[in-house]
Amino acid sequence: MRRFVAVRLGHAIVVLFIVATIAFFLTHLAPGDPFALGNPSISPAIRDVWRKQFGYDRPLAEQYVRYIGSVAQGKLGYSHYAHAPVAEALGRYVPRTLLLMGVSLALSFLVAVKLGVYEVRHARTRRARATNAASLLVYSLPDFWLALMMLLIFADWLPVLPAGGMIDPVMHDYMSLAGRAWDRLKHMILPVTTLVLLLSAFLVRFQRAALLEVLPSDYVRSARAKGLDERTVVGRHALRNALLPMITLAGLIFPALLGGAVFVEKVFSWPGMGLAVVNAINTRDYPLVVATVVVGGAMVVLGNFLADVAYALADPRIRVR
Amino acid sequence: MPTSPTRWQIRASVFAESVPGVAMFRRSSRSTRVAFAILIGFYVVAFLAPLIAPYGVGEQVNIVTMKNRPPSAAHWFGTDNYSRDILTRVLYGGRVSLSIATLAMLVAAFVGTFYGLVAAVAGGWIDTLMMRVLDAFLAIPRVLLLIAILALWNPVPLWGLVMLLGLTGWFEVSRLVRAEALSVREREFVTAARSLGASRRRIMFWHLLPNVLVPVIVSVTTGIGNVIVLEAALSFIGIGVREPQSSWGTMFYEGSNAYAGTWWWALFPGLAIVITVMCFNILGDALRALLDPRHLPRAALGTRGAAVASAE
Repeated sequence: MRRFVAVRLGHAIVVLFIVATIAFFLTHLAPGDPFALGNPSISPAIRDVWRKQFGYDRPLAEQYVRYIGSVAQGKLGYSHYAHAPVAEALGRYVPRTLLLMGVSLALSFLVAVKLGVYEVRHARTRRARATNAASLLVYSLPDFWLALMMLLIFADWLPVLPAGGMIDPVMHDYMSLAGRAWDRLKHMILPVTTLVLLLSAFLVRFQRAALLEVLPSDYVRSARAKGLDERTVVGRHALRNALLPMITLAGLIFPALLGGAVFVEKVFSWPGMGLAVVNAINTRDYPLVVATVVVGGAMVVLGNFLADVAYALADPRIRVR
Repeated sequence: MPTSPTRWQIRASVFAESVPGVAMFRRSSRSTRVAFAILIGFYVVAFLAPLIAPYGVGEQVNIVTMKNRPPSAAHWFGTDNYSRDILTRVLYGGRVSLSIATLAMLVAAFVGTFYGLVAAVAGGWIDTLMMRVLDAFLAIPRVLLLIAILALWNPVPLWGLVMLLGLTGWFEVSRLVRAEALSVREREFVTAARSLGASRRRIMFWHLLPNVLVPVIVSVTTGIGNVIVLEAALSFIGIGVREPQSSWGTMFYEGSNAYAGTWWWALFPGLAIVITVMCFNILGDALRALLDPRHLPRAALGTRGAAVASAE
């Protein structure tokens, strides 16, 4: 098991190195630099001073080595807008994105597993067909579209939930402890619901396929032959084996989740990494934009790594190989 | 003396067998046919936009009196802030959205097929290296990468957007192609071709390529739907398709920023995106079921179905 973890960790570092390299060349081959735009009354001489100050006048190879060093140290470059290492500027946003994603991912797994079992058990009935069609419909909705509709319905037409942000900007500090907790929860409901709808519609298709795949197995037939009711057969015997591919899926879904979070965060003004990226585009904070690619890559690699380890823990056959 | 088929006739028949259209249509469900018909309709309407559209592209009907008008007989989808007819703009926007997505997936199919075939044919350490590189590409969140590129290389022309969407969308295609090519490579006709002295390149293009086209078509179909959403999402944060060109995503972005009373401005382009993507997903599902019959729901359902499936 230890060797397995070590090998996977080695792969992860190589992948991260490649991601950082791609990110670097993207920034430095792009026409212009962070100082080429902005206020036209700034003289070229001053722009040159800035370039020198931040090392943009050095040879490309030197800048590359510096950047990789900076990534290795966990600084991820220097943000001209925040006047701090990018990691420091981004550090505040990433945990909020992880919070949103973690809660949504956990909830959508619960929903997808329950719904998958339901659809397989009631296959070919009208109700199962209805949920099946509903999941295809939700799966086809663009994330930003669904987010905006949720916002329109639950914050504009029926103003029951706050329209955006993480906390009430005015009243939060004056609330009681329970009031603050409720305030935070209230702000999470809309973005989390949007993400859970999208994710579980995606996941339930795989859960259903995985269940259908194991249903013809011998142990399912013996379970049926023993006279167990269909609920135990599908919900326990088949489900346990159908959960394995879902673990892999949890790792694979990370890139999609990060992407979706950008637009959901933008619509609900959730101050996470996605919103930080969109704002950084407007402030021309390019090092931060590029750093999100590296951080996103790291999250994906970490997600895959954890999924691999979880898979190996759940299925001893993998470890032997 | 019976004439034997020419080389080109054999190639044509090999090619025709690998195209799933005929078999698929015979077995398709009603929803698949409806989805297919809607998509064909959308493509035709978008292609013929200059003939169908009731107003000119970018035409401002009357900037004073016809601003922000709700749907009416003269303007089925209403008018926008600049008194442009929204139906006309949706038709022209469909042209942009559909052609960007289709062309991008063609680029992806081309690159992905080539990469996958080369990896499968080369084998050995080249294959291992190519797959490791692919792993690294797959670890990059596509949306964040596209945002970074589009923000930095601003403004990106339309063909650039097509290339970017295509070049970040071929990874899945090449995985499928490689897997398929590896199994086809072991079949008898490839061994026969090799023993006749066919070169690697010939085997790759004449023997493997026609046999890996089915997975390519499937992933392109679902890919187009994804790219439409992706392009719309990028346009939604203002870095995808920009004025004077507008896609459905651009229009949705403008509409969602507009005064909340003008719901029709965002609704119709939004609906166009949703309907198109749903049809592509239905079609993709049908194609995938055809490709991999094990995932056909009926085969594994119930005790009788289970017995049939496990006996096979």
